[in-house]
Amino acid sequence: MNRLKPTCYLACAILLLMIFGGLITQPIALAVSEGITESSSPPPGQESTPAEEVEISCKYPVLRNPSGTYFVWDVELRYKGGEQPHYFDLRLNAPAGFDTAIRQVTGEEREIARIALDPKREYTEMVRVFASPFVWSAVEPGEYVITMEAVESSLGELKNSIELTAIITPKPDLALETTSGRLNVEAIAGKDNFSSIIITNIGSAELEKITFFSETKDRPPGWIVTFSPEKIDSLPLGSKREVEVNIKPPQKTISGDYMVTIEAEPESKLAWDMLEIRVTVLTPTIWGWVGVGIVIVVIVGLVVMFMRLGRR
Amino acid sequence: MSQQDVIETTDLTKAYGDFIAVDKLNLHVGEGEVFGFLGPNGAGKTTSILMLLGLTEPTSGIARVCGYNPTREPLKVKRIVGYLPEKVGFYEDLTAKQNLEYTAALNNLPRGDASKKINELLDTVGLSEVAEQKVGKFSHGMIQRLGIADVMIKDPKVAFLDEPTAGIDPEGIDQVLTLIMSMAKKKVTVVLSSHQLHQVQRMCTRVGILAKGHLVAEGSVDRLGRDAIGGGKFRIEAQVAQPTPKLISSINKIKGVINVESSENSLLISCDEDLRPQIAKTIIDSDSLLVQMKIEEYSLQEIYMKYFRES
Amino acid sequence: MSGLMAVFWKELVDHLSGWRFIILFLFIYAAGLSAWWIANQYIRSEVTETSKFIFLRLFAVSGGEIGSFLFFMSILLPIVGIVLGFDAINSERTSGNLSRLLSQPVYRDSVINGKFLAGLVTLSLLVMSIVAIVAGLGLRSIGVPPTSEEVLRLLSFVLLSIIYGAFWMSLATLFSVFFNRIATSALASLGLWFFLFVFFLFGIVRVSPIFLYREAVTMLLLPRTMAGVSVVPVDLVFPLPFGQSLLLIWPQIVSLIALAAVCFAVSYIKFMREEIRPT
Repeated sequence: MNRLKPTCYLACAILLLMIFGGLITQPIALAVSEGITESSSPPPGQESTPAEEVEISCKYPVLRNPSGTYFVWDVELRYKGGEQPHYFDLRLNAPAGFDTAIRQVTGEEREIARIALDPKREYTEMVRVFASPFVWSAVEPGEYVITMEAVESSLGELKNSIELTAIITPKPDLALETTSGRLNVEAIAGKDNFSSIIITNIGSAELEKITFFSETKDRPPGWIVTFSPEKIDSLPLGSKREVEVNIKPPQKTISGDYMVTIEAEPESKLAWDMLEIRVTVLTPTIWGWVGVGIVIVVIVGLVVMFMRLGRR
Repeated sequence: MSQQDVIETTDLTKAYGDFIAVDKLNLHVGEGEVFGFLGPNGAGKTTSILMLLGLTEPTSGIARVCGYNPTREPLKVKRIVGYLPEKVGFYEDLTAKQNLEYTAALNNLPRGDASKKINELLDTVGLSEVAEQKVGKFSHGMIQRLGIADVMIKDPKVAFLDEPTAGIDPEGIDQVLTLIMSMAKKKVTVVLSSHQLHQVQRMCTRVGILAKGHLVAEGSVDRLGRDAIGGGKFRIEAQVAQPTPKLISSINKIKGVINVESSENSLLISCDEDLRPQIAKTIIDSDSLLVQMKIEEYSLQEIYMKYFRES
Repeated sequence: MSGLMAVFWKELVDHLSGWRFIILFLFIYAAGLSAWWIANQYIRSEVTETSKFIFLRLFAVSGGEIGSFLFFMSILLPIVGIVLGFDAINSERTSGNLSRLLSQPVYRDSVINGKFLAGLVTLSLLVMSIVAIVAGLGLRSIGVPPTSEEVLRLLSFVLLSIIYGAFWMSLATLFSVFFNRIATSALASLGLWFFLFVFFLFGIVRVSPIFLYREAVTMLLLPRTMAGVSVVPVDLVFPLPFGQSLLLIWPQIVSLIALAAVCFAVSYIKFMREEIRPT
């Protein structure tokens, strides 16, 4: 009893000290409790019994996305059976043309190449795998398998891998741009004003029966916008086509800037793009000159009158 | 109407309400005369002139200028009559020349003739050096001279000058009077009104004295003087030591002497002409002592004062 | 007619040489040009549906109540008229020119007629030149030429503006005949203008010349905008033909002419019957 008493006192003192120091964090508290319940814990020889292994798992290993978006998998890693924490190298093996990365799930999205795994921890580490083709048009729709591998850094004996499948479904898409690259054109009221636009199939499916139409906000009616050709029957994947646009403002359009929207849409209505073009309607040259002429005639007339009639 | 009467009025009357400005004015001015209208301010001089110009309608009576009735045919009268109003004004922003050009244009004178005439007239009135200056800077005398040029531009047959010498300095008066004389030399009938009698006396062939709208006297200064004072044109005062009756009778015999009055030691002799040499000789011949002799012309002032007192 | 032309030319040259004209000129031109500039900002947003008279809107559009060309004209033309007329007769009298002038072989009415005519020509020069300049600048800036009907309407607008200015000029002339002091007649005419303007702003005096002018001119330039035109049914949708528009504003035009004529006639009679009295 004499020997037990001081031990009890010591344990109580340490506990109190811990409590008052405000340091009752989970792991330490756990460690203390371990210390206290040392007699009831299993013997150390039992712990080393299971085989060392690294587990890689993913809840949704097969993803299906339309082309044009990227793929994201959350992969869980767990190291079991070891005594000490170990570092594991993470590698991805993707088909050609894919851009891939392993990143943190939260916080800074740092790219991860090596991860530390502690066998004593009961929860799993989670990383996020990203994959998307460099160029969408270069990757046909289909199934692509990306393999993620975790290899123990120092010896390389402990490893595992998982197959992540990306199913890319076809996605139609198109893009409009002006031939010149500028988004403003000049036009003369009452006249044909030709310019051209380029339509590109940037999707992963052929586009069929594309029609064009135009709409203009804040402008009086009477504007005629025609396209040549009026309709494109088929635009294969990745191809371009030049379309001539004729913008004809009505005869009595006040000169100045107007916004004209040009839109293109295939019959399926699955893809769509629009282009806002600033149309600067110019004063017809003749009326501009007539206007200037009137002003000059009036000013000259006034000056002559002043010279002849003024007494100065 | 006689042939030579340029101005003729018959019972010309103007009343402003109860106030009678001109009362039954009967006036005759012959061609080439310089007629002086005399009278104090408010006597009706300006009103009479305005009626003769047709600028004011007479209440009754008839006026004729060169045979035209100014009320009925004002334009015909205005074409031959020049008028220099009292307190005449010109357009201050215009030069002397431009002002005269405007008058010429109003008289429908051809431009070329007018320009030549304007230059001559500006030279005559001594304003050719300031012809291109704005009238706003002119002195009163210069304005009056410009006014005379303005009157002369239309070659008038009659010129009405209302107080042409009022308010200007003596030198200016002299220049204006000289100009009026030169007008008269050009056979222009001049009617001028004034209350400055000395000047009028110097050049008027005839004067009319107006008082409260009445023409109280009319005629040449000489005749008016005689009528008024009842004596000659000149009055000679001779201081003589002890004048004798014999001396008086012998002076009376001198041709031209009208009347002799004697006081203690001076004689007042009125006569038609300057008889000082003859009178002096007579006094000396009579062995009297001639102390001094003064001659005095009858001034219009006296005539005027007399009529004015009477009315 | 004797002397009329002489008086007319002298007065016209006087007007054109004076500082007064320069100031009026600057006033009118500053207002006209700023109205053009304002109209340019707003004209595209106002031309929405199938607007018929696009060009005329240059003179009527401001994005609000004030700032349009016709607004500036309705305010400034009275001032032009007053400045041209307020000292027509009394300045002659006070400067001692009147009796000298009337002793010249000219009819007395030539003096007042010639003066009025010269003022009218000066006024017309101002109005016509600024309208022409704004039309020229507008043609260049909006690029829509006027139709023949628009030209007709614009000419009527010019004519109406001249009549409107002439009314104010004859009013000022009237005061210049009645008041011997120049300051008095200037104050009287400006006071009357201010009075009518303030009451116009508050919409009290509907039968004021300012209102008559605005109604008539709005009908001419913006035949669809019926706001403020009391005699016109509001539900007129299509622009009336020119003749119909003119018929509609005929009362306003006649009233303006009559007002101008009455003012001038009164001053004419007063001037003709006035005796020149010795001072």
